[in-house]
Amino acid sequence: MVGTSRAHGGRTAPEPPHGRKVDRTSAEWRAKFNRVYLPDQCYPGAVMAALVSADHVLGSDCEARLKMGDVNRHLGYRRGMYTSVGAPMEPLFTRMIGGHGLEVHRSTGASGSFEELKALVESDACSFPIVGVDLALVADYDGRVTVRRLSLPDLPPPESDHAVVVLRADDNEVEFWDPTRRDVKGSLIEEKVPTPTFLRRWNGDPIVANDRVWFTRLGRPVARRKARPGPTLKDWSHASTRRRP
Amino acid sequence: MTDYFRVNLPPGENPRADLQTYLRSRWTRNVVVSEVEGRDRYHRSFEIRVTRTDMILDGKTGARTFVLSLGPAAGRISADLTPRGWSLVGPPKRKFFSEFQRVSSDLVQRSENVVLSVAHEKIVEAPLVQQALSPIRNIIVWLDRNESVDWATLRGLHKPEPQIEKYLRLLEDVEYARRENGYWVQGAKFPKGTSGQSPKEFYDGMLARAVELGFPYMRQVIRLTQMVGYFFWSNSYFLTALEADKRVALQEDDLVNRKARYYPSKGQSQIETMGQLQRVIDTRLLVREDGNVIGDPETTQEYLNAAKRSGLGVA
Repeated sequence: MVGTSRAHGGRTAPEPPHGRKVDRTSAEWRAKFNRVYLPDQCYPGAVMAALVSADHVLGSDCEARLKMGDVNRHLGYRRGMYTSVGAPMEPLFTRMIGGHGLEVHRSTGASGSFEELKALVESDACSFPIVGVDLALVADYDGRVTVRRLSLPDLPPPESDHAVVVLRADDNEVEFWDPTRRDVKGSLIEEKVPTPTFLRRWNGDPIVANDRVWFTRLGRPVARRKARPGPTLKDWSHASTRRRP
Repeated sequence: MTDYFRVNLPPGENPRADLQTYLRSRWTRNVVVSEVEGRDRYHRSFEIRVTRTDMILDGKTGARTFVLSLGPAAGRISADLTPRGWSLVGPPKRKFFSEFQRVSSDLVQRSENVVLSVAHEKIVEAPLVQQALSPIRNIIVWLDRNESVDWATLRGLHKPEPQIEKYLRLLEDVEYARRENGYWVQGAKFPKGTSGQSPKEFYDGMLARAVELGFPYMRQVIRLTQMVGYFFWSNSYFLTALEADKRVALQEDDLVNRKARYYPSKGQSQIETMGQLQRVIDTRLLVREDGNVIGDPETTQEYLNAAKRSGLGVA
């Protein structure tokens, strides 16, 4: 099944593009993004990074005006709980990024997904895309990673997915940024895997297969909601007169 | 605000998968729904759990361990098949989340008991703990020398009487003292003879046993809060070691973050945090190596064995 949706909630059209993705190398992009401490915070961490990339190419101001806590809160993140699958499309979040002149798009389903992903990575009209992958991808790019699954009797083994931001994608290799990667000094491990491996992990996401989310400028200005007619000055004066003895 | 959650799902043999998809889309993506015994095929019952993920970074090697575990059930949803489909009722999202936090803190509490059983001797040696326990130690020393103690002597501790009563209650509970004809005398478990130990070892041994058995009372009633920090820090480390199933070297800020996660507290400054951690390192329960904090090998192994025996390793 292929599904694409978009959501927005802002008021103003953003400014013209400020830069291009190729202005920075992958290493420079990574240096701009902040790692998160908790593994269940990977999605908010990836969203924040994608918003930072949107600032550069779309001229928004998320990095300056948003804190990680704001993104956590608007995505409904709680410690120990991953965000919900539908969190980036919820009004709470879309209204917030709408205030920064951005709208969010989401696609699922395998058909044409990699072509779309490549286009999204190269395009300067959108942020870098966030993708959901099987957690095993982390072990694919970093051989020092172990995944322990502690099962309970009569229950399926625990499963989890992971969110990364794709920085470069071609038919041979996919390079990304992992929000939870924390390293010791002098480590030379690069966050990239061969494309077949990436596709296997993307398609094998145990929660939602081939999930991708990205940000663009607001497509059209959204009309302000009409203010509910409240009491006029005359009403107040009338009410206060009536209360007098 | 409603105090329950209600949803209607399409008819079918079993709504488990639909319910899981629904909750993953609206509550949290790590929800796991499992079926428990229902009355019949028209009335089913489901437990909701969450997959917990922890990432442990070994500060020495840079190796990461992701630990995935299923938490205990934090809610139950019942489903009834109606002509229009499945009608499901359960706790609301916020109640489920708070129940999840509660069951998660149960795990921390259970691990604390294991830490207590393996680390109490080392903790009792810490100067700050010695100071906090000195009135109890004084009573023990007096009982050892004189076999009984009266109230006039106990007032010499210069503590309020209700507080002295609490010390005695604790000693009575661990059977080091008992009341007899208006005096307090040696209890059934009061050791006879020092069996070749130095007085310090002898009295510390007795105090360690009192801490092991009476820690909840010391913490919640006598309010010996000076000791609590030692357990919080060691438990934060040992729980991590349990998840990794080995002795891991944690970066100092990593351990600080973990401690804040297991024991959220407000108002502790960075300078206090550092001081407290150093005091735990001084007890040799934890050791500093190349800027990382690592558990004492013997105590860590003892903890891992004891935790597995008590079923903590799979919870």
